[in-house]
Amino acid sequence: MASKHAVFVVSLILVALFVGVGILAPEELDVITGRIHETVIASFGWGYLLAAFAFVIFSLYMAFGPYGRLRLGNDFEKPQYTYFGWFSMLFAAGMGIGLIFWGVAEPLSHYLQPPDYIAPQSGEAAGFAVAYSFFHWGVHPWAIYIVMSLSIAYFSFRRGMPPLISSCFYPLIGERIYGGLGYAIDILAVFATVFGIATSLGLGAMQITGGLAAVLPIAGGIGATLIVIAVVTVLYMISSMVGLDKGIQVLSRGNVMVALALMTAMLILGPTAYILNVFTTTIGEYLASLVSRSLDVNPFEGHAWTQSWTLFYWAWWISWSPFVGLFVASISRGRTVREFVLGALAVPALLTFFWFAVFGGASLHLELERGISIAERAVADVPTALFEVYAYYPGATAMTAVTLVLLSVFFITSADSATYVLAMMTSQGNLSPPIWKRVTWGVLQSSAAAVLLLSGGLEALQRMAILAALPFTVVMLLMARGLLNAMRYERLHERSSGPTSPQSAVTAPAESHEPAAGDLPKS
Amino acid sequence: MRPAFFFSPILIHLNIMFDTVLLPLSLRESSALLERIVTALKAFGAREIVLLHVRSGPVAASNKTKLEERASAISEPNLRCRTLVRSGSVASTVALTAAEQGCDLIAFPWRRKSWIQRSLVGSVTKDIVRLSDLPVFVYKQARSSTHPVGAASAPSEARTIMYATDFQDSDRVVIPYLRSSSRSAGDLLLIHVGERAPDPAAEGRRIARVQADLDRLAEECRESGATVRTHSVVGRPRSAIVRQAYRNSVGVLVIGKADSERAITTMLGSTAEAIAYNAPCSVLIVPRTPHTEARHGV
Repeated sequence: MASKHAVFVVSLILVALFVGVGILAPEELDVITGRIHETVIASFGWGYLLAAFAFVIFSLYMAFGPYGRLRLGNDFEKPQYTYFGWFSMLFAAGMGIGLIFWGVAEPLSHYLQPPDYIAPQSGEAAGFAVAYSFFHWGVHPWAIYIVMSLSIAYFSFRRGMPPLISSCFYPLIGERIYGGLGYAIDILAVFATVFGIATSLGLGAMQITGGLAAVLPIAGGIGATLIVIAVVTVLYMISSMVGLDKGIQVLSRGNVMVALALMTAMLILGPTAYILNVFTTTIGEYLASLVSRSLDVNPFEGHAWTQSWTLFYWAWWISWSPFVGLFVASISRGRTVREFVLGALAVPALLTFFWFAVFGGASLHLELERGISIAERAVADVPTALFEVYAYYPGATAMTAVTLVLLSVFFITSADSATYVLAMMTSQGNLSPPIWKRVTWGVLQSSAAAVLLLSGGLEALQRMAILAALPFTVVMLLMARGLLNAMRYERLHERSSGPTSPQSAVTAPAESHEPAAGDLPKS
Repeated sequence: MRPAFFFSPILIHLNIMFDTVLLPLSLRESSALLERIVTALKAFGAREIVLLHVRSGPVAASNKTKLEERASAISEPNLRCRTLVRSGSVASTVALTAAEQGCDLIAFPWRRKSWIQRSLVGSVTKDIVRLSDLPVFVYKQARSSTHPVGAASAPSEARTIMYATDFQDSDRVVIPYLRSSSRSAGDLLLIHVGERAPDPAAEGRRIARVQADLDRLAEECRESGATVRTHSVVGRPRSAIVRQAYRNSVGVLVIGKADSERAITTMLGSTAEAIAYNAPCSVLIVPRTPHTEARHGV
């Protein structure tokens, strides 16, 4: 009984402890986490780049290698969700809210404050800005998520193990996944998810408040932000109670349609040809420089910029991966490895590229072609940057209103899926976790976001979440190794007996008729 | 220094019959070491030993003389001995000469090299294991007392013959030898090293399957009355087999070898090469090649 709730209880205590420190001593926490974060990025940043690139290679190998046809479930299983439903949920969990937050602010920030070797606010800086926005939000984050989600999906849906990160370590550490080591991995995942989602909620609420202040006669500020958090919390708790199929799926599908509509509207109302030029040029540059940028730490010039942007992002994606990975795994049952990898790698990345081309292109058009100085304002107040840009295009009020809806729904789907994932992780991988655990985590993450917003400890907590990226990089490299071991075992010792039957699903993976188990000694 | 008599019982029990053995010598071997190797080779059933000395440059007349002296020292009525001197790359010349002379086995003493030596000049042991299609016997003196293989206080333990099986072709070559040798052998240990299955249920099935295969092989070996133990281990063969050799005070380790064309194997070396180098005891490597199987009538 004690071990049944070990992950839940220990995680809860740890989270409460750190939130308490964030409330009582926000400045001290800020200083300490800031120093640790700087040290980690300065010392191990190269490791994040290498690992992320390795995950891209690994994902491509999974898609085009000998395991591409393996199904995440039994061999005759059909995917649980349609492509559109699946893509919508992928996008909502993986990017959604962040993309709206940074869609305008990131290109403008790079344009205004590029690395030392590029002249700020120049044409070169604009090209660099969009190119690096593509790069930061392109295939790398999705490759990171794929390593996590593919491993979890394989071990849970094909091998009949609980959908937990620790399950992926069975080939490497065997029964020890049910002991302290396994618990530690799962607790670390809970820790990163709670703080990651709490900070996202805090920042997202600030953006919603900023948007509301732009279209309604209300004053922004902490009070309004807290009300936004409270309202959204009620909404995502309702969504969470309704369940995955009706809740997150419906909201995600609706939201992706709204996002596509908003993007199309901006494309039409904005400088269409300019945006398409930006898209085409940057796609070319992205593909041409993918390998060099993937491994470019810029040690000779612009290293500080790389540390504060690229390495920060990579650490962020890695720390975010337990949550997105578990959620994506839970909606991907029945897909083959190939369609899973290609779908998760290509479609969200393409949509993201188009998003940045449209909103980044429209904002840079204001700066470069119309002489409107918007970059400084956008960088000074990131949450309202998007609304600032709208003001210079037709239909600004309508687009702001739609964006607020979009933001709120992405907010709800992110928080809802995080609540679900946290409850699942702390219920030994139960795919239908108890309601009380969902409520506990839902209330806790929103409360954490609210009180830390008040105390000013939100960014410190974000850095705490990002610090989890360091151990998680190692965890993910080991997960990739474990997954390869497992798939190779299946191919060598189980697949020769033919595909698995529908009856051999989850709890009874493919039976082997091969006489030889294990391998070697051989060359 | 290990006593000369220590090694011979193990090979007598192993009783592997190799008529013609190629024994490459650097000429730095002591006469005591040479004597022990020859004793071991007689236990393998050797009737003819071809002493080979390979130089990378021109061969001095004094080396030929030294080799002749070694040959006369080990010659016996039932053991013919001839000498050959060649120049060229040591490992490839040994492998080529063995094939050319119709040898059944290549045997040579193992000499420890430091990490720097290995990095600079490589390992002839590993190269011969890699290049040869014949069985290779790497003779090793026992390690120090921290590893009980050669400890005089544990002679019974040291008699263990360990065969690391993967239940593949090498079984067909090795098991008949083990069976014939085990009539008087003290202890025969059959081990299997394999990767863990992906989930607990599959792992349970894997363990049962491995144990059934080990039991089958053990039963074949027990027919001649030997004490046979079996052991299944999870891990990487190249490290786990060596670890088990240490733990079980193994006297002779028998392993199979298959040539692999995988690029990573080419770069990092095969499992057999690594085990031959790192094992604490003598190692007999039996290649799984048509050549070996035809030669041994399998």
